[in-house]
Amino acid sequence: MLSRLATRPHTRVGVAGAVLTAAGLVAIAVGTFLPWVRSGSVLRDSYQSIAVIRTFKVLDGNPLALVIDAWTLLIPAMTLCVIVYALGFRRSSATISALIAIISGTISGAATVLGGGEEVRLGIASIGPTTTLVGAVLTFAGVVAIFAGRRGRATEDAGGEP
Amino acid sequence: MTYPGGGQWQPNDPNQPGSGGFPAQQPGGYQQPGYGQPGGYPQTGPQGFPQQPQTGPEGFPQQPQTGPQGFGQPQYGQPQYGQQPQYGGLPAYGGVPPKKRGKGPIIGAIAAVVVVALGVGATFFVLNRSEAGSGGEDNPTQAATNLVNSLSQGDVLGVLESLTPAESSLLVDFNAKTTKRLQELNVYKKDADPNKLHGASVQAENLKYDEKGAEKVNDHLTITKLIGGTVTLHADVNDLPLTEDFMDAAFPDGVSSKPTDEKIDIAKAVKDNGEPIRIATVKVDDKWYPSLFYSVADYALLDAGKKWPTQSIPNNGAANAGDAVKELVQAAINSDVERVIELLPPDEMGALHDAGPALLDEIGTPAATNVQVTKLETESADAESGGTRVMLKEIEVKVDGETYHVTKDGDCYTAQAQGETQKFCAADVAESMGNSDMKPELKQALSHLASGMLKNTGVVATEVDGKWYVSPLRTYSELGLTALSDLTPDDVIALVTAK
Repeated sequence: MLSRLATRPHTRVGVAGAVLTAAGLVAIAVGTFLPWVRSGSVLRDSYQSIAVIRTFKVLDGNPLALVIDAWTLLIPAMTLCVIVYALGFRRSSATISALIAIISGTISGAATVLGGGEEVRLGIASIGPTTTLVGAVLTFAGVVAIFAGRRGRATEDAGGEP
Repeated sequence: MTYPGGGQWQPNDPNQPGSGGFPAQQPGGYQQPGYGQPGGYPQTGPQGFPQQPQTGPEGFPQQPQTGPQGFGQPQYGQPQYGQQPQYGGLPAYGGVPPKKRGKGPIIGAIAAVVVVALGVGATFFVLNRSEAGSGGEDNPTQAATNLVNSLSQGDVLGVLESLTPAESSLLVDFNAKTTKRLQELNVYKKDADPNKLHGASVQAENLKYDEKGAEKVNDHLTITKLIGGTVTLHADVNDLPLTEDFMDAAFPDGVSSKPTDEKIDIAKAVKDNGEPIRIATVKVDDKWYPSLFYSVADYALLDAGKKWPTQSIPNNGAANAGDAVKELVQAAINSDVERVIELLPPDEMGALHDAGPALLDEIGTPAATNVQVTKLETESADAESGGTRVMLKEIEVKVDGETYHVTKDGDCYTAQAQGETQKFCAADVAESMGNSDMKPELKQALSHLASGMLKNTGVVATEVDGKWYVSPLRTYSELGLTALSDLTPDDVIALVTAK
């Protein structure tokens, strides 16, 4: 049977993890659309910034170009998470969420550190990377909770306390 | 078979006829486990008698289960592995009604569908938004407006993005590489942004165009005309991201220059010149971009009293970078200006291709020189300014029957002519330029400067649509970068403090 939802009820920890993960993914998604690059009085979100990078070909032939490509796949990956979760494959969904959190968290963390604050005329803006970083942390915490919930159930099945 | 309850007949259902009125039980009254029972095998214990301990498919006794069935799930209302689903049947716990499914799953499914739909939509939006080349506009006036709006907002990235892709690439590559090199030489601070235009800014306000007066030269070139607004140019040496070490060495008494601001009233300038400010816009891949080089060429033609030619000089590149340089050298020696233009990159030097016929008219037909290149060998390397740097290895030239032969070995050149041989190396440059009073560190700096230039100087060729062309602008950029290539931070201090 394709869906495993009916056979796997939620535990409290699992539900809390799922909610946290969902909130984190939403924050990541929103963060990518917030300002990442400031140039003069113009603010660009992460995707517009990627367009500029691609236009100038500054990463042509550089392995970092793969990171740029991966970034544009965050939203599709989040959509995949929802589909996989809806079908009841929670651990798979949590694993994909963890990957999203790691990738987005690493990039946004680096951008947050390198950000020049709001006073710079040309540089990294802070709100986009910070929001994405918070989302990544929430997502990762949620994923941990989902797996922790699973561990608790496995203990019960092995004869532990219900 | 169905029974009055409406469910399917269950072999261990207490309501089934012949079941003896007792539920099938494990010894000790334990409920039979969901996974312990052989799949699909109904229990067939003697009717009315207690069942024998049940064995699994292999004949092993089943372990009695003490917890809830399956993974702790309630048995009722849910399908189990190896058992017939009991939907609609009476509950296995006897008397506990099946749980009713609420609207939760339906709402959840709808929410999931909405999220997926949003995700798919957002995916297309994101992929479109992150596409390269978003700086172009649908018409020439919008393209020019885009440029001046970016200028007005101090948006350096927007300015670079609004220019034609080839021009922006040229400027970005040069600025980025130069900034990086100057950082390595401790001239620029480590945090200097390689994408920033340092020390100067431009601000434009209330710009107006004469849209009706725009001149359409051909299908890919339109001259837009700026007639109003103000442009303020700001320059300040103090804005340059120079290190303290460099500032102390170069300006021991401090920087005396003050920031300069020049405000240009476009309407007044138009009135004084009797001509609007002309901004050339070109069409690249169905998008319009303002072009620096076309604008320069447009003003050059205007000054010469000529119009844009109706025909262009076609681009006709060479098979590889080395051939492009060789053919260009031969064309230059032959005074074949048309062939020289053919070998220039159509993306960067499109303006020269389009204005070329007018240039040929102006130059006329120069007399061919009596020079013949009999041998030209080159070596190639990646250029720092982008493209391929083609460097001389060996050249033999005949001039008026006399043969001149030059070979390169590292930073040394050996020339042979009229029976004489002369070798010239980077170290000789410092000797020939200085005198005995020259400081050793300055001598070394000059030697490094010459070494970088003699070792790495070459001509840059770029590939466009599978053909190779010689890029004069990248060659010029490369010259500056190669001159700095062997210098050290100490050399820079020695050079700027030399008196």
